[in-house]
Amino acid sequence: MNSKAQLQTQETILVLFIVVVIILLGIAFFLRYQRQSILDERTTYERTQFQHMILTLPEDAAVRCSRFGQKENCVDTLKILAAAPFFQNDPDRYGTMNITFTQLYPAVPSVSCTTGTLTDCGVWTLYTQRPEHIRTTLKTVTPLSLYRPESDHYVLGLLTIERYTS
Amino acid sequence: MQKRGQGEQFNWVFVLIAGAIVLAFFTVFTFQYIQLQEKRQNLRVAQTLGENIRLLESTEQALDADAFPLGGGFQFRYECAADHSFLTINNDYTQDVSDHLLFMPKLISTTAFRAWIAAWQYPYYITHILYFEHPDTHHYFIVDPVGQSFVTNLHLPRIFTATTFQRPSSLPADQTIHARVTFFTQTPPTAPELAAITQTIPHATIIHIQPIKDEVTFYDQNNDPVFHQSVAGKELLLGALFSDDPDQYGCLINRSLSAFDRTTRIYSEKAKLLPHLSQNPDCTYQTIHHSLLNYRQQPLHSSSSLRQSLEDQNRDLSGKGCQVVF
Repeated sequence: MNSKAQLQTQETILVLFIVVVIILLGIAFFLRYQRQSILDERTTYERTQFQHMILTLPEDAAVRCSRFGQKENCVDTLKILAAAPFFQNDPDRYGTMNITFTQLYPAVPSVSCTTGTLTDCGVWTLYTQRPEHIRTTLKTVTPLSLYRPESDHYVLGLLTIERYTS
Repeated sequence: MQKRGQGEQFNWVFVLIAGAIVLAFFTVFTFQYIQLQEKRQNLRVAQTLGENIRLLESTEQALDADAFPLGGGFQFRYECAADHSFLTINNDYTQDVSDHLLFMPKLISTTAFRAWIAAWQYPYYITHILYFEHPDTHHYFIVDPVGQSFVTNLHLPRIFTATTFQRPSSLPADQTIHARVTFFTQTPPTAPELAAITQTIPHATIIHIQPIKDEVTFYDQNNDPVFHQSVAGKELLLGALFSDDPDQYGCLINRSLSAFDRTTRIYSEKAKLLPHLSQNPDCTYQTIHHSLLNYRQQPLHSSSSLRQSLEDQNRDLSGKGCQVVF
């Protein structure tokens, strides 16, 4: 009787031990899953923030068209060239990224516009910082209206923002 | 019998220990789960903030507490540094708001915000300025005749609760912690006026705005002036109504000046590039280029004549058939 009772107690301890281990594993797995899901949500949010940059950048006074001090819904190509050094000198803010404006229509040579080449060109780089080894590239594009002061014309353009991780 | 008694005792001890262990697991689990859910909620509030800031920027409207709920009570700590500003939610999630000039209290616990946005033009568009406050905030404006017309021209949206009193007058009692008293007067508040406010509205933040000189003065709890600065434009003056910390206000003013400096330098660079595009000999940009360089070096609040001159030069360029700079 005595040994039977002892055996029963040992059995109970074993069962309890197994149950506790199962519960522990369950809890650990569940919490790990929750943590990962929060991290994923955070990553998605950060990605959304990056994608929203395409909406906010053309609104920046640094590149946005203005006439007699009033904002206009376009990007001034001359201001891109004037603003580029300020963007380029702020790598802490923009990180490893490439911000480019391209003229789509009317078609022009896909030559980079610089302070020395203001006409007959169609690509303006506002900021570029590419790491040596690129692991992933996140890219977002949007069409917009570009203003070309040399011809006083509005043309169809494309804003491309690429973010690199190394 | 003794052995049987010992066996029963052992069973009870065993049940108690095992029960305590299982209970401890569930307790730890519950706390961990609550913590994780709080983290998730903080992240979602950050998302709500980001979405509402974008909404404000695209619509340029004001949002009241019904339009800007947070879905629960949250504490926000706002920190401004030279290059960055951060909003920490419940001491956990930190949202980078460096891209925005946001005026709000340094520490605020709330379930919703009242928010507004204004474009800062000086004389050209520089940036958007955001204003956030607790939905229970009540503004008491004390005005003299000059201040009265200044307040009328502020065009503060109706979502904000503001009551205007002519100077001298006694304010109604208000025990809330969100009361703000602002003097829009040519002369600063007198010691008896400040003492009377401390009596009737003990938790009020007291500010003096000199409407002609565009000067802001904050007063501390002892009614002593602790911060005094001239600022450029009513949009920055308005920021004082939404700030409760003089240092933070000063920091945001410095950041707004950096934004102004950058925009002005870009326009002066543009003025340097424009002659390369024009065949018209009347289109000379040297004067406006130098005026812009001068403009960014002068104290902003004392540059009204230069500002007017810049606007005239820009308009003149258009009159000659040239490209305008801004």
